[in-house]
Amino acid sequence: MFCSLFCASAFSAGHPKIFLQSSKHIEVLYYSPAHEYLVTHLIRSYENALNFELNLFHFTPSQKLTVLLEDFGDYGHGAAGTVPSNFIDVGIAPFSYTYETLPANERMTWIMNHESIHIVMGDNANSADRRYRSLFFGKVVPTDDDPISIFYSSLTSPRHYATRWFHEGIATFMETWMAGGLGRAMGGWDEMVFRTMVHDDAYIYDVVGLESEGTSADFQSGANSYLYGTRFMTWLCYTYGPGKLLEWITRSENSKRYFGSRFKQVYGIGMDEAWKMWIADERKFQVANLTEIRKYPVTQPQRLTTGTLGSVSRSYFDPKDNVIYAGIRYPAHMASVAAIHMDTGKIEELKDIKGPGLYYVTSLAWDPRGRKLYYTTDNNDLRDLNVYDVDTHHSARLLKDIRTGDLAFDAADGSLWGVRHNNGLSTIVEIPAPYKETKTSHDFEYGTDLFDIDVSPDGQYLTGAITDVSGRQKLVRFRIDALRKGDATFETLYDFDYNSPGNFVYSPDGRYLYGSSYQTGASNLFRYDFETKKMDVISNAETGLFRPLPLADGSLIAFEYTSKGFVPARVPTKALTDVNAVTYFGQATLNKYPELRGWKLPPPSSISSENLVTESGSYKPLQNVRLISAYPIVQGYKSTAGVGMRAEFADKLRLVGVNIDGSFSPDPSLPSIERAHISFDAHMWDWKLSGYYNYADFYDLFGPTKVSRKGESLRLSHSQYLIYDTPRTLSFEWNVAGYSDLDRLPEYQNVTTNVHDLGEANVMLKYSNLARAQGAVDDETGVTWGLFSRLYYSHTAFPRVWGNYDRGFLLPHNSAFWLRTSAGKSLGDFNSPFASFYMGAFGNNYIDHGTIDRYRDYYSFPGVGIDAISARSFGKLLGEYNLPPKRFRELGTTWAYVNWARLTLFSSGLLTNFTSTPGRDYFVNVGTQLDFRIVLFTYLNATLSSGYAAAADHDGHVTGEYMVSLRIL
Amino acid sequence: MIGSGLIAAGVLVYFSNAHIGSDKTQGAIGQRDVYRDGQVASADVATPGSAPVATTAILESSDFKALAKNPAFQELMRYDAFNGLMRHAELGVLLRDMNFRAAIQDVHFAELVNSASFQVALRTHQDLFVALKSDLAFKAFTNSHNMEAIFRSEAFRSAALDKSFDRLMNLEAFRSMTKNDAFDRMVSDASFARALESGSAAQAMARLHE
Repeated sequence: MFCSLFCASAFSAGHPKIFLQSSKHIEVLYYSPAHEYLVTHLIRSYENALNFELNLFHFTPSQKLTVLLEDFGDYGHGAAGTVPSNFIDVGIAPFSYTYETLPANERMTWIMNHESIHIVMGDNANSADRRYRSLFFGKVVPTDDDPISIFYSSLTSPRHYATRWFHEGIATFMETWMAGGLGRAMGGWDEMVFRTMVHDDAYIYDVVGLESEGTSADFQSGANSYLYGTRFMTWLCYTYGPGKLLEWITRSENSKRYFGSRFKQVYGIGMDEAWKMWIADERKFQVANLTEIRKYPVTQPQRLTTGTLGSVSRSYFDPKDNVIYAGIRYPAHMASVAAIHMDTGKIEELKDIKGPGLYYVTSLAWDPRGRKLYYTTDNNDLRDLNVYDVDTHHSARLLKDIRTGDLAFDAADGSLWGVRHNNGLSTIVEIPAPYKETKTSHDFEYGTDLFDIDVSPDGQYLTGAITDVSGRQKLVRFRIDALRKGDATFETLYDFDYNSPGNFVYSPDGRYLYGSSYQTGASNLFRYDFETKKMDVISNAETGLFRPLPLADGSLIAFEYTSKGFVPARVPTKALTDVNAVTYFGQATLNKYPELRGWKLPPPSSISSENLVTESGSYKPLQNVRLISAYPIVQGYKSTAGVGMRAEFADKLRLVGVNIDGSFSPDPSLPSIERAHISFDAHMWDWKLSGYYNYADFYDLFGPTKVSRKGESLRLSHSQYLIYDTPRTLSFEWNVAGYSDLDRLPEYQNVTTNVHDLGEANVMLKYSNLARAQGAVDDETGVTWGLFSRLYYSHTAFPRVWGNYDRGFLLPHNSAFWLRTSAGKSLGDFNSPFASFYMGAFGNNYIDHGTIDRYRDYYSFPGVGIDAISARSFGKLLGEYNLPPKRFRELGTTWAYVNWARLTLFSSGLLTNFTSTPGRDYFVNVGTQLDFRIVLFTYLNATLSSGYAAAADHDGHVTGEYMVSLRIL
Repeated sequence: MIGSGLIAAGVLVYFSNAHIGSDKTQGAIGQRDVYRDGQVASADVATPGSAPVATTAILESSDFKALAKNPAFQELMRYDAFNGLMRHAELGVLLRDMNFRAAIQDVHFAELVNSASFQVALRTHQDLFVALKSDLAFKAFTNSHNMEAIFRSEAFRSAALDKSFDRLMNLEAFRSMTKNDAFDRMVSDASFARALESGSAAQAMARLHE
């Protein structure tokens, strides 16, 4: 995915130059000179974290860490991997501080603290692991080409194979102490999530259900891995102490390989049991907190809807239609700009939001006079500005990739204000009507970020939350006339210390600002009075209240947090005098174990920058290609088995690489010339070169589908994106290939040929614009189409063209209906096998690594044999109904569990040779497929599929086919 | 008695207006007790925009070496108007704009930029595109969305206000370079623009010719 993103970015500007700066333990790669200002600081941040980790975890890195600095998205992010090499991806943009889900301290240090813990967890090795790494020449990457690599990978990197909650939990737990308490183990959002689950008496996922359902079907999706993992780590630390926790997570000599087994070795109880104990203790802890809150009258929100909205954006009230407009995102629905009807509570989804943010959904602004909503799309990439007319229901994109959000509408002159993130910096920008261009008002220095802005009703002031590298935050006010002159001097209205001033917005009369903050521990509503210059607390929330929306009549609407997401509600506006603070579990842990303060790192500036950088210049991928790993494999060739070796070479960014498989089939029934097998697959940027000699394949050991082929082949391919605006993409690919000594057609295993030499050329244009709602297991709506042409050449040319067009419709509860069409026409000598399409069967092998839903492909026709139907021309229509998936909460253990099951019903009609009356034929089939998603070794997806289809030809002759298949990875 | 009453009244008034102080909560509004001992007080980062490593790498690249041998590039480097304009970031932004590079190839564009009506519109109108719509020299571009984007960009207006801009648009060497692939790749790096601006590109060229 990273490679495709990088290549897609590269496409727009040719292949980018990549620069490198390296210290003793880290090398930083970056493609934009505009990112270079961060490099030294980043290196110092990592060296600083590593100094700590060397001592605490007795960690010796197996290799130098590679870091890629990138700016592919408008919000900062980090990702780490240790297989095959230690690698961190750093998105340099400022973070999203919505709902204070993240701390606001200096983010390069924060990212390196967090991600470096992932490196320690995955890379730390004992002597046994190191022996395997020597044996296989490195850490083995699991590949579906040779699934035995999964086993080798678990030998070389045993702790890589732990649940996501383990990796994120320990990284988040450690990040908190490494930054002196500024982390999510001590975060208001985390505390609220668990307090609310207890308040609502909601289901708290168990150790298996979290991964199988909690991280996909819940509105917080993957964030639950962080939330639960951090909480469990904190509980372990609180209950058994930090020493035991370190003992569990550190890969020491004589420690069990598997993280679950090691848990039992250290704690003496199973992880399932400990998890249950934590949940029981969590309930007690939160009951105490709720009791503390209830000592004073609690705010009783009067809910406006019966259902929850999931995540919600800033909202606006439209008195004309008596609705609230907001961006919402909740399971089984596409994220949308919605109208919430105040009188009925009806939620009307007005317009889908492409690329919604997890928590903030979209930046939304409202022009009450023009009755238009302005909103951002591509919120996880480079944001676009869009408009939606609430009267005409027309929408349009106004500006693409403006990288600007936190929108606020200036009713005085109709301009939009926003905050742009570019090259790691925040900038206040104005977008004057008619919204064709942006005007830069002020660039903040690195580490200072402005968010949740609003414009006063008279258009004189812009307010917002400002944060600096220390993580301290203030509610501030700028003069708009000064901003237009580039003067960003601001007035501090209120210093929130380390709390976020959340979503402070003007009352319609301009006298007040309403917002929220975790100052009391729970997120309560606050009101700032410009006349008295005082800040009042106006709620005593049991869970949390956010995003207040003051109305012209002086009343107030806010969004109440529930265990299923936010609910709009009316809330009182009276200033309160008594609100109790809640206790944070992280703080209770610190109070019990004050030594956690000793885990605070010194500032990165304590690492001397003198002689820090040992190497700098250009990074050349080709010159950095190294052996990644090499290991024994088994392969199938026709009906025989062989053994051999696989070697993988690649550079650190995997922009250039080659895999080579070689094997030998000792079966005496094979002619000696067919016993040796070699294949390779090389790539460089968007070019690929592959070839084989007597191609062998692991999956030919199992089942009826055979892809092994006699002879030699060489193929050169090039692919590029013509449109890369995810999820909308248009790709163009061409390839040319040559074959010799074939005995079967390259594409059709049951069609023999005695052609000695064969040339092949393909051109493909593929469009995809598919989407899925939260909780989906597959694409649920959208369009995909492709146009394909192929030319076989053997003494004469055999051209053919075909295409497909598929359209999906989202139905309730993550079910979907799809119509899939395809048609093709082949030319050339009709007596030659090269001039036909061949179709038939499901196409899945017993053990497989192709797509699980092969019945969707044009060449598949379940119910008849493989390649049983030949056609010079064809037209096919398939209707497919995907029933709602069933998710399993407690089916399995942490190392192997069932994630979900889904049943599909399909039926298709196939018309062949429609251009010639005598050969015209037709077929119909009806079938079903049941898929179970299984997670193996904690980490690796597999799918067990079974299916049955019956097919009939035009004579009414009926045949049936069963299919059972296990897809690996 | 009176004193007690005043104190009680004072307490009542105080709590009826309970509010959060600027540095801490007051009255019975509790404040969360969380450990916050910030690790970083200042980020010791370099000045955004400075990129000595990338600049050096760019000036050592084969693209730059090829450019340095190109007579048109050499002429451009000797041309004061180009060097002057490169000191402003706007020309670098424009050169990275595909619309602008395409427009330069059209001779009508240079004529338009040199026309009196353009110069007047530039100084008197906020929206150049609207101001020039009825101008004859602009007719060829009125249906061009690309041209609309150029004329409405901040970078174009700023660069066009420089007195050297119209002369540069007429320079054949400049037009020639904007068609050059190596130049195209180089200008997409902001560091190259900075190297031109700082003179380090000229120094690197001189070293290559030694």
